[in-house]
Amino acid sequence: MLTLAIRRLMAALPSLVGVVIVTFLLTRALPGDPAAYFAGPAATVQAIEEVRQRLGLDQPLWVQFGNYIGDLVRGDFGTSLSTGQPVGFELATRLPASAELTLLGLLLAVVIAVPAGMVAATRPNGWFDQAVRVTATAGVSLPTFFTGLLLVYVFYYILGWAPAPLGRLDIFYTAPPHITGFYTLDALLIGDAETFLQALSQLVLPALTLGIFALAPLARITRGAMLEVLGSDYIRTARAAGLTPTRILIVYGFRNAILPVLTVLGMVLSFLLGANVLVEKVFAWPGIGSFAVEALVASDYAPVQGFVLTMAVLYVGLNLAIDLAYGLLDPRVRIES
Amino acid sequence: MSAASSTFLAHARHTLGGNPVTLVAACLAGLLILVALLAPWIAPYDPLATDPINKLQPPSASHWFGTDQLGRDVLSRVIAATRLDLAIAVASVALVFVCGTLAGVAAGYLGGWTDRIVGRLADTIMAFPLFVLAMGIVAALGNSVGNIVLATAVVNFPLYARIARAETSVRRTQGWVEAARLCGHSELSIVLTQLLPNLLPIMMVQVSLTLGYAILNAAGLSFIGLGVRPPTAEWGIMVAEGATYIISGEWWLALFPGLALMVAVLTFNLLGDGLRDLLDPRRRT
Amino acid sequence: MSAPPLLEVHDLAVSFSTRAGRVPVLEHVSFTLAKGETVAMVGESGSGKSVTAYAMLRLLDRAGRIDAGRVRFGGADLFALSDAEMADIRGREAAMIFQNPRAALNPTRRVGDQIGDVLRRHGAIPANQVRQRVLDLLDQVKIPDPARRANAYAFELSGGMCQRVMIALALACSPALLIADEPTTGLDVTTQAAVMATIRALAKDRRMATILITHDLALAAEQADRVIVMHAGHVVEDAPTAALFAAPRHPYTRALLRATPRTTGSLADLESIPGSLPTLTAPDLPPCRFAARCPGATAVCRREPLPRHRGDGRLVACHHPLEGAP
Ligand SMILES: Nc1ncnc2c1ncn2[C@@H]1O[C@H](COP(=O)(O)OP(=O)(O)OP(=O)(O)O)[C@@H](O)[C@H]1O
Ligand SMILES: [Mg+2]
Repeated sequence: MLTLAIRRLMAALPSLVGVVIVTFLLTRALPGDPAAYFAGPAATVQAIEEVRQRLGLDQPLWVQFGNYIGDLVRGDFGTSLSTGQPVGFELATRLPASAELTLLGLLLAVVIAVPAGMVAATRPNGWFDQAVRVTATAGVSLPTFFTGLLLVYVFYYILGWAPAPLGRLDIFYTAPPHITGFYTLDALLIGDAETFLQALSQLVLPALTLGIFALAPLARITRGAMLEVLGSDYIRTARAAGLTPTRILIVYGFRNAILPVLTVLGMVLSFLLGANVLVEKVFAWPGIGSFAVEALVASDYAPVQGFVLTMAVLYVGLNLAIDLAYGLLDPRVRIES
Repeated sequence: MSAASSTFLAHARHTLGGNPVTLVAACLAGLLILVALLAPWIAPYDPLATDPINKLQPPSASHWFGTDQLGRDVLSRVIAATRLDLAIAVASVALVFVCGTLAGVAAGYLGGWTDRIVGRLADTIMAFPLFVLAMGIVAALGNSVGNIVLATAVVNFPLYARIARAETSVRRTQGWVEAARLCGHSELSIVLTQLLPNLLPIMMVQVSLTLGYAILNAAGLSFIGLGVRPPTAEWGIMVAEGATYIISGEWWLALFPGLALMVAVLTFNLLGDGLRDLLDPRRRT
Repeated sequence: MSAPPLLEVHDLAVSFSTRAGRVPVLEHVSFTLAKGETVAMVGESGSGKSVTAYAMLRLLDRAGRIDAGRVRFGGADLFALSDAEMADIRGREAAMIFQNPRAALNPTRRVGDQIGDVLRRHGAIPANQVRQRVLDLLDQVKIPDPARRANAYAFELSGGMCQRVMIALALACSPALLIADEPTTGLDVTTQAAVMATIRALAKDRRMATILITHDLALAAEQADRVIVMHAGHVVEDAPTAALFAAPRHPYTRALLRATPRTTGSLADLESIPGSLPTLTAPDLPPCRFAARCPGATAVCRREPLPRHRGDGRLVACHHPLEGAP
């Protein structure tokens, strides 16, 4: 198992190198003169030259790349012009908000989509299957930011069930002490039920928006994988042995169908991390996505680049985790190593 | 040949007949394209003309989709936006169709270093969450419509390159390509006359599927303030502007452009699925 | 026959829905099987042998449908049982060994656990003895080092090993009926012999009735008390082994025998069967599905319903059955 983990890690390395190179190139591709940007709008020619030297922009490209790597290793992502804080610090403080939202969205999607896909596959072309299919196709076509707004309109404006879409907590509440950074979890850990409920009520709509988006591809692939597995010879063997339908569905069916589902989970996460930016904007969620969007609007590029790099590294890491899970679940991969 | 084409037609009729959804999608796609082409002539008002007295009017007989915060006619703006959004999507898909297919064919046909470089490039792009990469590209290259087109094309590149590569490397070793080679055709003419035409159908399915994604991507970028800028009418921006008003109950500002966006994406997705069924009945799910 | 037979298949008909419409795959399939008896079911690929077996155990996939017929097994009418009652019979009273054993085993579950699943399902033995029983079963089918193999996954085992695991799995609860669908195809000769010997010994020990589905006429001749010949979804002949090989009465059986190499006789005597199985979707399918390929076919064969004579313990479905020696 350890060798498998190491081998997967090595396989992820080129992706990581590619990501770093691309983000480096993006920093150098700034329209106009990067030094002028980083010096700020009111800078004199002399000030710009100073910045150029300080940032090493007068050096040859490969030296700059070396410096860039050095900065990254030290966790130095530059400074945000708009907040005046180091980008690394800003990202780190906002990451839990994004993570809490994305994870709950993914969880919702999996909890709904996987069983729905499984049930749909047991009666192909039945009414439930048709319903799942229509929902799945409609779901991928829904622009996340639009779904979010619709939910806000219905559940906040019309029904009044949800709180205003203005961040993680109502302003009358104070954030729970930082333990995990997830407000809901932290509130639970200190036993503060009221804050927990408040945080959860703020979280539900944005998480649902993300969940609806991720639901479609997951349900679709679960259904397809399950259909294929249920038509396979070993399911017939299990039936011929008289095993109960639930056991066949779970141990013989699901256990095998989950493998293709895991494979597309990577793609779903790609969607989800991207959609996260849009959802954070709709719900004024103080995560790294809305941080990047604010910076973009202010033409503040260091945070945007830090954000892109962070997301890409997170994504590579998540894919690695998926790969490892796959290895754990599929004996064919596990035993090869 | 005629027998083959007639069975294809029969199959098409069978598939479409058994699948009215694809037919509806095809009609809707035609309608969207028509609206996009005729936008300046069918829009009832100038999409940019403000009318502060009649601002934030709910839908009525004179303004079917209501008016926005500056009194502009939402219907006219949605129509104008159809033109812009489709143009962005078509341009980016055309770009990636050409570049991605060529790169994929080169990789599959030549193998070796070409294959490795194209593969690595595709892998590197895929290592990013795609929308985030598109954000990064537009942020770095500058906030313009052209860069939105470019960014959307880049994030779709791996898909095209991989499919073209896989199809090419399968076909390269098939009998009839060998036969053409033995008949003295040059490699280039084999690629042009034997491989590319055979790749077209499967690439067309991708075109339809990625058109939907391209629209979504472009609208998403404008929603967060990249690319298209106000007061230009564009679905993403219109939804973004309408977002402020939805919490005070003026739903029509965001709803209509949002619906238009959704219908457009759904149309191309359904059309793509239908085309895929037509091409490969076995993959039908 | 005095005692009622263990298994009685009567007038079974099965169709599949396909893109081209409903295909009548089986028609009027009838046969019986006594306790302890072994019958071989032979016929070209696609003649409906596996479908017959699946239909009997109600294992057809979704596209398949039983249109008519009755299957009585040990006093129960199998088609009248509830799904749960049927599941109680499967694996305990009637078990099946499948074609292509590797694909028939769950790729992500240890083979020992799969056998254990069957034992546990039917409550054959106390839970704490399951493991030991699994090892005994693997040992019985001559798998060396059962303790290690029980922990293996199907992809780690050879084809012959998978086949034996399948057999162990089917025999786990000592069924009264075993359907073995080409249990030896794809195995080398020594393994074939070993696998057949295993099945036979167990059949003898337990008075188990066996349906042996095979392409291999030599194997049928050697193992079976009786042979059922199938062609395009019809049972065309059903006779005691010796009688069938001595004097086939259906032209298709004769053709099959002539197409099979024998130790006596030279290769020059071999004949291939002309034509191929008819397309079952054809609108003008004649009542006798062999008519198009049959040297002795007449207008009657294409028009009149097929007679199914049964006499002196044998059945032949033909308007012009052959008489005497071939
Ligand atoms: N799921 C299915 N859908 C449609 N037709 C089917 C299906 N399963 C079997 N058939 C048809 O039923 C007929 C009989 O198939 P069957 O598998 O019983 O043949 P077989 O005698 O077992 O052949 P083999 O020796 O190759 O195993 C074939 O013509 C096949 O095309
Ligand atoms: Mg078979």
